[in-house]
Amino acid sequence: MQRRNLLKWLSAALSTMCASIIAVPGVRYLFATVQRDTPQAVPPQRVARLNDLPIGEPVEAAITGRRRDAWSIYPEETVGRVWLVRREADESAGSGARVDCYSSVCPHLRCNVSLDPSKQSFICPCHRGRFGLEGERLQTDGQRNPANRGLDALPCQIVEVNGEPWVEVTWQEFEPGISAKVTMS
Amino acid sequence: MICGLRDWMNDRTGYREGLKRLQNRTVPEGPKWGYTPAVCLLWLLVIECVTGFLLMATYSPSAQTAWASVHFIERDTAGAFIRGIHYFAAQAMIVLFAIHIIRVLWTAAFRAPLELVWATGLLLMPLVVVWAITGNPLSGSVIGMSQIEVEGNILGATPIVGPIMQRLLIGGSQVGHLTLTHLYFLHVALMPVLVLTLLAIHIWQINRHGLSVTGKAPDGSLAVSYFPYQTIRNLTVLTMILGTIAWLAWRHGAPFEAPVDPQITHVPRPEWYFLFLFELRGYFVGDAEVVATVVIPIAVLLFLLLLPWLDRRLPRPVSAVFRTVIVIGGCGVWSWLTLSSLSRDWKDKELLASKEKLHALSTRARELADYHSIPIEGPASLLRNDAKTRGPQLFERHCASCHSHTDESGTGIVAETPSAPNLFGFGSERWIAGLLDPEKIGGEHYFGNTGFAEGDMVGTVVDAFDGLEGEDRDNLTGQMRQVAVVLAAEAALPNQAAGAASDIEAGKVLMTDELGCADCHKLGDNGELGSAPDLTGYASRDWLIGFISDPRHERFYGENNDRMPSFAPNPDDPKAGVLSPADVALLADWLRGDWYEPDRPTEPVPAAKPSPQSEDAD
Repeated sequence: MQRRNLLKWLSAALSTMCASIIAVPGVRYLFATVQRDTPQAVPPQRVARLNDLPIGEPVEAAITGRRRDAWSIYPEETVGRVWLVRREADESAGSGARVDCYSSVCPHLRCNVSLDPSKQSFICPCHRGRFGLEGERLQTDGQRNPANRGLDALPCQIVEVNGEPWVEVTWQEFEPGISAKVTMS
Repeated sequence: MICGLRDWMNDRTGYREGLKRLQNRTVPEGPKWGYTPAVCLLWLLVIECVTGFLLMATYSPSAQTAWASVHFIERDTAGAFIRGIHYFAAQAMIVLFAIHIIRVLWTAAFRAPLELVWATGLLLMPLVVVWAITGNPLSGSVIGMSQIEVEGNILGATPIVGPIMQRLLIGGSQVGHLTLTHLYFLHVALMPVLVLTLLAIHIWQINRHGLSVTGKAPDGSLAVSYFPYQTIRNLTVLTMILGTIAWLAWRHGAPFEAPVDPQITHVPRPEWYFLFLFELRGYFVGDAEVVATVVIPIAVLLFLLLLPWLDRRLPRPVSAVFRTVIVIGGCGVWSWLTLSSLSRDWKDKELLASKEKLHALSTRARELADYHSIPIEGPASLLRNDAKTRGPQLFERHCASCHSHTDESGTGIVAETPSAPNLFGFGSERWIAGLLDPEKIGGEHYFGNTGFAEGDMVGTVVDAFDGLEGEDRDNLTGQMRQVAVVLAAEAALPNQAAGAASDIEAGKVLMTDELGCADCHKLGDNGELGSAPDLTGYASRDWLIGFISDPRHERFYGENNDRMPSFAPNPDDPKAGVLSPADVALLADWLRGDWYEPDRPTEPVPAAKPSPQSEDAD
């Protein structure tokens, strides 16, 4: 009986060893492949000429950047879209034009928001999230707004290029579904 | 709670009885090491399925992505190990299968009532081999893809059904996207279904006829239980096999050559387990080839399938002799064919050279892919656009009829008839210093064999040194060195550190004033074009591209050009030249030693240029 037990114990040990030779690297490999790529930093880029932006009416612009998709490299591809809203120039402050920039990524579940036909609000086609032209959450028609924060504003400034004013945007992405604006890692 | 759940489960499934039967299994003739190959084969099949499923999580079958996704797997240590296990376990299965069949033949374990066990087992063997060969090309690399092309053609030569089968396998008339998806379908769907179906019949028949359920041995004594006495034997052998496989996977990994590209020529050979057929085919030339590739294999298989019925007619002692002859004869013929093929290959210089070349290309392709990732044009473009790979090929084809490219020891590309400068290290300080050396400029490595041997440049350099002795001579040599520093700075070769800015400035003054280079050559704002090559940006990428494209241009030799052809004379019509602009650039980069090297620091890949998106704004 002693020998039988020893053999049973040995069998268990050997089979565990064989299984772990496959299982340990297998799990490591799976988790290495599903690890999310850190989004590549996109340098600030000019997206539109200031003079092409009508005051108070949002205009959509594309952000291009280098994108890595697992093994492929796309040197220049659209990586995101933004909404530009040119504001009434504030004469008293003495400054010229003022432009705000919002990421078109809905903070709820990352669909792309579009402009409502009235051109007075943004609407997310997925779950009817609504946002005002200042990017704020709108509560309308007694419907619950699924987003728990407003559209994410992006750093944006006006730069002169060959004597012409351009809007320059720094593209960023934020974690969806939470009320705080947290940069995606 | 747990107990209740178990009862509930048992009421519905009756699993306890099943477990009990499994535990009470016995081995009527006692535990044997001879039983282990079959069990290990089953476990290796499980390992193949598990590692295969894991690889499926990343692999992407298409001509564009196959190599790229396998490279992606290989970049991860764990991924490379899993792929290695998958590869070597397949080889082990083929070996174990052969051992298993030999044991069954030897012990006559195919006799009634085990005919179905024998037949299904025998049919499993070719199926497993086909399963393995449908896997080899999936990596989209040179060897696997050329193997499937040849295998497709062999299939195509089969009478009647051949051509349609070939088109089905290849997915059209040429190897491409569909070849890979079809092979993938065969590898992960059709072959597994066929193999598992036959295997189910095989195991069901063994359980029905093989293992004693009475718990009695043939002599009536109590039979030994399967667990743990046979189990420990199985596990011992399995651990040894898996250990070997894991060691191979860890140390060597599965083979992964350069991505398939019609531009890469190599001598293809089948996998080791197919070498015997490859060798056999050599005995049947022309139309008779189908005898070796189809008729003989099918005849052998049919003969073995019918063995239980043939054996039944033979008296026992004759049967023993008969089976011995089959085993020894079969092993002998297989080994003899395989060994004669291998020994021929070992002596084949062309094959060895081809293997070595492919190995170098494969290393380079992986190196480039590690650095650049895979461009959108596909993995083959990695090597096609690599100066280190393409440069020597282009040079040998287009330049080496006159130019050599050999280092001090004489190794490199030797010109057919050296009649132009040796371009090794062209643009480096050392090369230019040699050009300005009165002993060398008229020698075979520079202008010696050219139309300029008696020309102004050689004359000027030789005359300048003529009659100079001692300090004066050393002085001039020093000045020439300074010129070399200036020109090397113009070239800015990636392997050459630039000289100090003050030295370069001083050198430039020297060149225009004292040495009078600018009398014939242009250098920056001094001198004029027309009589000798422009020294502005001498040997830079731009300069070299211009020079190779058209040395007759006034910026270079103009009317004085010796025999150097213009390889791409018309920039407006890139198709008109002998070389495409891309090839000229590759050649220039190679001559300048300008290519990616993993141990050489290079600038990071440039980020996408910010560009105005006026279209979107409008």
